Amino acid sequence: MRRSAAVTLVAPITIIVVCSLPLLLPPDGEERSEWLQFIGHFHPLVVHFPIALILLLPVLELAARRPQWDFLRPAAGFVLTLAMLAAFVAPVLGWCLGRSGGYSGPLITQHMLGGIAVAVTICTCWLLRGRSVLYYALLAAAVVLVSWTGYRGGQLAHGEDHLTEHMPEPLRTAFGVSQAAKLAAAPDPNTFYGARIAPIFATRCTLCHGANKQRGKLRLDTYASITRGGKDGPVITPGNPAISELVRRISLPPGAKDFMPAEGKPPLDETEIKLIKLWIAAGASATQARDAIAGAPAMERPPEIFAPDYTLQQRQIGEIETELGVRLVPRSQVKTDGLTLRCVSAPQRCDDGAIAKLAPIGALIVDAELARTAVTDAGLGSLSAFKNLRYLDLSHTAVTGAGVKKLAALEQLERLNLTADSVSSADLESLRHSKALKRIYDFPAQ
Amino acid sequence: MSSPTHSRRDLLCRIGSVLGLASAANLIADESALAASWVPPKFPNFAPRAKRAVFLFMSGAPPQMDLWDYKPGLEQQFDKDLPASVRGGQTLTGQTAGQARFPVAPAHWGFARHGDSGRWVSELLPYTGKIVDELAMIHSMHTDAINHEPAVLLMTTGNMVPGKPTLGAWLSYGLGSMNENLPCFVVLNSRLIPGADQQPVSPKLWGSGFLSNEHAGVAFRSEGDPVLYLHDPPGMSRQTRRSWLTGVNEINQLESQRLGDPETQARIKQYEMAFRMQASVPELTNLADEPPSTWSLYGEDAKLPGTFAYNCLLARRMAERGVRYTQIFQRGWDVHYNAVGNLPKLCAATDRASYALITDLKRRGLLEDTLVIWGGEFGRTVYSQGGLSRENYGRDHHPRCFTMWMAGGGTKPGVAYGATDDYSYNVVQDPVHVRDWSATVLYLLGIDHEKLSFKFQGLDQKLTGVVPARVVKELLA
Repeated sequence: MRRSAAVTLVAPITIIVVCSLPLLLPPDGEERSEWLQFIGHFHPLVVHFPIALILLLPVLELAARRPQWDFLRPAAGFVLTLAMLAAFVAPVLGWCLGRSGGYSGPLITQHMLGGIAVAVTICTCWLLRGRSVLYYALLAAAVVLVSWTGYRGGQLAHGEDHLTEHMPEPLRTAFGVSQAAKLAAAPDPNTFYGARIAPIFATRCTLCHGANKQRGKLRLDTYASITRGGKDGPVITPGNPAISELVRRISLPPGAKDFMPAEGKPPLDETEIKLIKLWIAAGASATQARDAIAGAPAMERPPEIFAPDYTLQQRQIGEIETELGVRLVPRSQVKTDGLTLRCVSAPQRCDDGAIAKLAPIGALIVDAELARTAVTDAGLGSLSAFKNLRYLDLSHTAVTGAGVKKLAALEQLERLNLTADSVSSADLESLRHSKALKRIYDFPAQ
Repeated sequence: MSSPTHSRRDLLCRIGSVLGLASAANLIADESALAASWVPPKFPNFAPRAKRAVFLFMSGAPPQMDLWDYKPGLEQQFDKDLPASVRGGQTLTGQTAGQARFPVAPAHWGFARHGDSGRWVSELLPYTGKIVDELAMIHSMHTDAINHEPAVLLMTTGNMVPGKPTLGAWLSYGLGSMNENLPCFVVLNSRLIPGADQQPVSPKLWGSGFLSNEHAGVAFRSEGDPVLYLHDPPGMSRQTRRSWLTGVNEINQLESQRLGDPETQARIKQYEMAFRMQASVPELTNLADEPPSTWSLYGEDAKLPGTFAYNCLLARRMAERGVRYTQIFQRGWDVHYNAVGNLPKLCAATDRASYALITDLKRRGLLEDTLVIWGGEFGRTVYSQGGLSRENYGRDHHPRCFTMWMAGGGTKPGVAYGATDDYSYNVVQDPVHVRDWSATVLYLLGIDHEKLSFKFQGLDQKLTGVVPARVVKELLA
């Protein structure tokens, strides 16, 4: 392959420019000229070109090894040239953003060095292609580098755990992605600040005012940095929310010039604003106890897990429902709220045999509406498979005291309806030790 | 000349569904196919506290200060003019706007404290007094409308303009039916009370609006068979009826393919429901299996079809059989005149039965997941309409405050929420607009009122409308 000397010069120049800019003028957390910021914001857009083109290269090179696709070989050269140009433009734009957008810290530095490394590697590839087998090794390196750099960039834009946040637990263990480190760094959850305030800043503010990016030189990720404030001074005035700059900004109408969170990110909700105001009014302490501030809205309890995720057994649920002619209705769209076993359309179709056949999905059933069914004492033994059962309606059935005794095995049972059944109060004695059981209804109704 | 016609709207919808073939396929799939591919539904959004609800609708608007909103200070104000500052320049109805005076009419009846909560209740309601500890009382209800028709529509559909789906239709649309053999939404119109001033109730109060017709409430009759033509004519067997219906359905399917009107499909579903109701309704309304304790609780009135007591008993039987929403209308509360003559009659017809329903649901373990609601469309004025004497008075419509209560279904028992001023005229604490109440009812049934919506006329239409509504969490257990 022949190249003119002029073209061959492009590569070293590229390398020098791309390397020198960021190293001489690194991102330092300052915000600078609007022009630089404006141009820089094209970085997240443009950056997809070098990524895609570099990932495409090995595909083309491998495919071209087959005789019927050898026409792809020149295409690979063309794509490589494009990739090199893109790998030059993207870091320059990235530098514009990093230098002017208030970024600093290890993440941006790693991302930047990664970008430079990609540019250098791909330029070298361009020089070596057709001349040395080293080209293939470097191309492989470029693919690894561009993936890693892209991931780092994603962390800058979408948060450090943007890929791992919803990772299922087994994968987490396999990849060694632990949340322990994150939890260890978190402030004391027994303080009001740790339990109520820090989580608000962490979810709403720290993407722009955190370890990796400090718009306005403000960091809201630690107590010390919150009280220190930003380039215009403190943002909170302990004891006086009314004159606290932070409160003023989050309380503005969305779209106002100074409104925070900026750039169309979702505004804080009423409760969050109220909590911040209360906290500042009470002195903005890091050590005040979690429930020390009067008037704070109650904390939302974490959702209770009633049963395993029902979507994991979707097919089985459908098959059993069709076979038995009962209905298995999710208690809600929350996957761990469990199912209601509903027989009211044709109660007599549900008998002891049906209960036994429900065993494979028994752990999903939280609420069993068995009123007026053909279930008898014999069938209640199979209910032991319903280990997450909380609500059981056996009203208007042939169940007697002998059957009720078997219910003692249901450890989660909270409510039991025996209306119109032949059960005496002596029969209920066997349930005395059921810890979860709160109410039994045994109105005779005869 | 006849040619296939599509309404413009249906045509547009149809084009839409071609683009989303999967969803169109879902809509026409028959029940067995749906069962085979088990898919979690979109509602409830969270685990419901109530599976079903019963609304005891006191049509005509009961006077809050004669029943629940105890204002002992009014006794000294007898026949004095309502201070203009209290009325605050409010526009009145045509019925009293011309009155020269607005004389304060204190409640004719005494009040007493009841239950552990020590709630004040009028002596007109001796039975309900016994269960105040079960009730979550709202003294600060307010509405936008001052006349019956818009106010009743606002209560039932969330909008004063007719044509919107009612709460029961929204529940049918969102949550679906629990028992495929009974309607999801049943309306029971109670017998009239002689001498009381009746306001009309019409099917738009249980209509489905822009939702498919199958979501509309089914109104049972108050006399004779609860549903017309419930029984097949002599000589027609169940099998004959079935094969006749299958034939009709085939013709309707052809019609549906030819014209493509979704109402045809709704009609097919209604025919099928009617067929199943021929079997389920006689069982539902056959009270022979009721134990003697039922009659000692509800009273002998409950044996007479169409009475409020009978309807309350039916509501309990429907709760047992999986009817999602029952709305009982008792008309006659519009006491413009002769409040002293008519209120005792109205209370006698409803007090014991309301008490019996709550008590019955409770002892049968149903109150925990059945929400019972009592209330009318607005309140009544503290000043007398027409002449005021110690013996008699009347009261005009009053949208600024009224009292409702809820029980069971995850409400907080024994709580009283909100307060009015000394004249029971303005809300002074914790106002609850009708839309807040609607949002709360939906919440108890596991629905986020912002999410239960339907695209129509360019809006994501909701029961609670476009003004932000608040779930009154203080009323929740």
